[in-house]
Amino acid sequence: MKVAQTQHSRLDELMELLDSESKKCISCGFCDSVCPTYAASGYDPVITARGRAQLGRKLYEGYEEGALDEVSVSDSFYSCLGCHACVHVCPTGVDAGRVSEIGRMIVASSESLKQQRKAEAGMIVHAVVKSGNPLGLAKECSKWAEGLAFNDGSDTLLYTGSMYQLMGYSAGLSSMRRRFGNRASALGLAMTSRSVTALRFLSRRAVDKDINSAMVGSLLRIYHLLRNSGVEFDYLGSDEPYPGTFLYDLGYEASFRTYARKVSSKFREKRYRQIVTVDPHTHRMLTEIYPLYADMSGINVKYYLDLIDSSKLGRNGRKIMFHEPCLFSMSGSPYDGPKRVLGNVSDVKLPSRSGKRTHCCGGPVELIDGDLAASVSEKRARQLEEAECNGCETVTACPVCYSNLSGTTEVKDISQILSEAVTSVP
Amino acid sequence: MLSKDVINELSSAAGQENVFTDTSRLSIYSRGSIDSDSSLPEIGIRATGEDQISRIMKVAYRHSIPVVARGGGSSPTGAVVPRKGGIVIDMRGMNRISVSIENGYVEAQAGATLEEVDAECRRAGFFFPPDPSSVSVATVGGAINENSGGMRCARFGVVKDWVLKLNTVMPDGRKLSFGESTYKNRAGYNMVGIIVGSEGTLCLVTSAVLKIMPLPAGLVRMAGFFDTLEDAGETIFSIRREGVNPYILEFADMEGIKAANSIRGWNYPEAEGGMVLVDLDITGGDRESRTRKVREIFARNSAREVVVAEDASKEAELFEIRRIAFAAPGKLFTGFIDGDIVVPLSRIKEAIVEVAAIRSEHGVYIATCGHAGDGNLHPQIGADRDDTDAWKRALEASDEINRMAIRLGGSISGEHGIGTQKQQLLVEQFRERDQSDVLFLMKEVKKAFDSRNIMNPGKFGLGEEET
Repeated sequence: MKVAQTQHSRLDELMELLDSESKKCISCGFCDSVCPTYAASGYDPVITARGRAQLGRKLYEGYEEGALDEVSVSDSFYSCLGCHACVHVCPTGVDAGRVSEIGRMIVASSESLKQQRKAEAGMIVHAVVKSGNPLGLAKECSKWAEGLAFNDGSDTLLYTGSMYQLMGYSAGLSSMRRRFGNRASALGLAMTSRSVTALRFLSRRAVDKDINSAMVGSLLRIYHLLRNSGVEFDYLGSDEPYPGTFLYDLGYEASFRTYARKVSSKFREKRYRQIVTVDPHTHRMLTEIYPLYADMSGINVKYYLDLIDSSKLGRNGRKIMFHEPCLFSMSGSPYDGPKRVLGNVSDVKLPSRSGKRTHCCGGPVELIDGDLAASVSEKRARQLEEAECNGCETVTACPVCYSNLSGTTEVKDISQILSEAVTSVP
Repeated sequence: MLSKDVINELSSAAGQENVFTDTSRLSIYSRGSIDSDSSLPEIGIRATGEDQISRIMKVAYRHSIPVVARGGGSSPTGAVVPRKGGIVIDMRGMNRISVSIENGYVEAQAGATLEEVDAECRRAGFFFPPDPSSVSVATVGGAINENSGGMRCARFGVVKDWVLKLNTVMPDGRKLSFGESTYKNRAGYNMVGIIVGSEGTLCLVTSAVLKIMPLPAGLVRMAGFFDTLEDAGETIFSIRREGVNPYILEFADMEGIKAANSIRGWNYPEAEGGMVLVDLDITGGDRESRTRKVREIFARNSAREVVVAEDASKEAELFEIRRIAFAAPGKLFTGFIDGDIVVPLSRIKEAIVEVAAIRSEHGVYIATCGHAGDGNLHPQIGADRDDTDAWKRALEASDEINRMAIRLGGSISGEHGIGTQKQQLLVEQFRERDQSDVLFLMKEVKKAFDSRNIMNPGKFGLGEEET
């Protein structure tokens, strides 16, 4: 009974948050002009920021009128990339990304909206809760570090969050779904049956070996860049917990809260005082989301680029067309580390859509809607190719961006440029 | 209520994959911007080409189904609200653009946004001058049907001054073009001029040929912040009178500046007299000499602070203040009434001051901004809709502002149009000017184009309630 009351109360709170964020929407459509999913969906009126903000209002009205189940929101909220480009052009300050985030939490927590939950989301959440990894691949995610030396006694933890490691598998699964169609594919069956074993099997079969190998290469380079800068750190290997990003992003807030507390307890048991993150998604989770749900006091979260000793890197004369990660340029707390560090070694140029108008790579919806993700990433790849920059190399600073853009255009991870700029090795 | 058979006919004409009948999608098509008036269509269709639209219109004509063409859906007057249900044709996917430098024009499909058109022109060193602040969402079709204006209109005029040719689908499904791809054309009545600004009540524009201009050599953007509205008004007037010929000349009052500071976390002076924003395209000399004249005018009118943008980021911020000012009530109130009056240039100061007096008299929130350089003001009114008294006062203030515009020799709409919102005011304006026969002629024109009254019915002073 107590639990039921708590859930009811949280739904009320979520509805208030939804109302507060969406009621400012005047439906001007400015956000549609920057929302990557609008054009990518063939201008579907709900697969875009204005549609999400307006449906947020409808959902709240439905709640007030006791007709929550009559409002169909799932396709709209789950298709949001969470890039937050919308809020930077909204004249009344509506964040349709935040509306979608709250909306997904409502879909996941309200019994009235149960039918609207995505089977894919349910499967991923089930896999995370059951195996500590969204694809049941905890062991595979630690293989990159075999044979490397770590400092067991260090109070600094290198925390990959499995993001680089999962990219080859998620790209493979997405490609499989697009090839066979969601309903017909074995993945669809695995999703329906909620079998982590089947998901793991399929993931291994589907893996994109090129991306997987590139991602392992990036992690190795990050490892050596840090070591070369004199940073000592521990690594948890196959015990490294996935941060639960999908649980949060897909709206499974209650599961995420429990999960995040487990992860933070693990950090605390090991007495880590500093956690070094290597990708924007994990960094955002630990710096912005975890403090809201778990005890992170006394733990300092640093992005690896802030620990690299720039005196050991030399200018290399390369010209870089830099695709900024949305999470660093448009959402939460802005962080210019990648641009700054790259700028120390190379001539960095930005495409016309950059900064607070950066265009997402499409990656965040890859497992939910592979076609939409591919369409978004193709558009971004074209923008990067069309940018006037003779002899430029396109560089990303996020494994999700690398994985999604590399299918259409040649990209390099920032760690490659920095590694090749190392002039001084101890 | 459309029968299943009619929906099947429309689906077969449009392509099943382009048809929406679910309430969620239809609810997005039920309203425009700002004005919360809404009405669900019965079917939404994504346009894919002129032939498809022709097939859809034939079905609509046969069954007398109302049709609203929708572009960016940013009209604040109810012009895109499907008042009578029926079909909304979403034009946004029809957005091909082709620039012809040799001919000095751009040919664009109706669903392309003005920002997309402008971007294509800029690649070739040209631009399309009309630039409503909704340029990123307003489409070619919408801007033509609303005869949109914008910031650069003080110098370059509104959309009607830039349209050479229109390709349309008539209510019965015939394809018909108006005008030629030439800078001059005296063949027949100026039919293009009748369709521009017709708010979708005559035919469905599918593409247009638009004049373009070479880009200016360089712009300097500057803003003055004033302690009194009189000083700001006098500044606008002086800039005009003393032959500066600004590229843009804009105004945003204190409420607009406050809204921008609050939303973007800036700290621009929240001065009682607001901000006057000026773009100059003076060539030659350094920035100091190019801005001297306007600086002198700002100083003479006691500007509290003058900001000259030194880089693109500062330019964008100053522009954003003006843009946010337009939507300022949206952040604070559940009800929002769009204002769009225009007065003769010599009365602009009077109009700004009178709006402030109306605000005090009625005790309502008004954020005023506008294209002061062409006499066009947007007094944006906010009030909570569930506060009956406050909402009543807001409506009264809105009416009074519109009547003030008529009294000053101006008009109830400079660029946003009539839609559903200003039908009675349009009648009043015509009556005041002894132009009531104009409305009669408008209705005759409507009948000549659309005998079955299926094109965006119930709007633009042509609603049944006025006939």
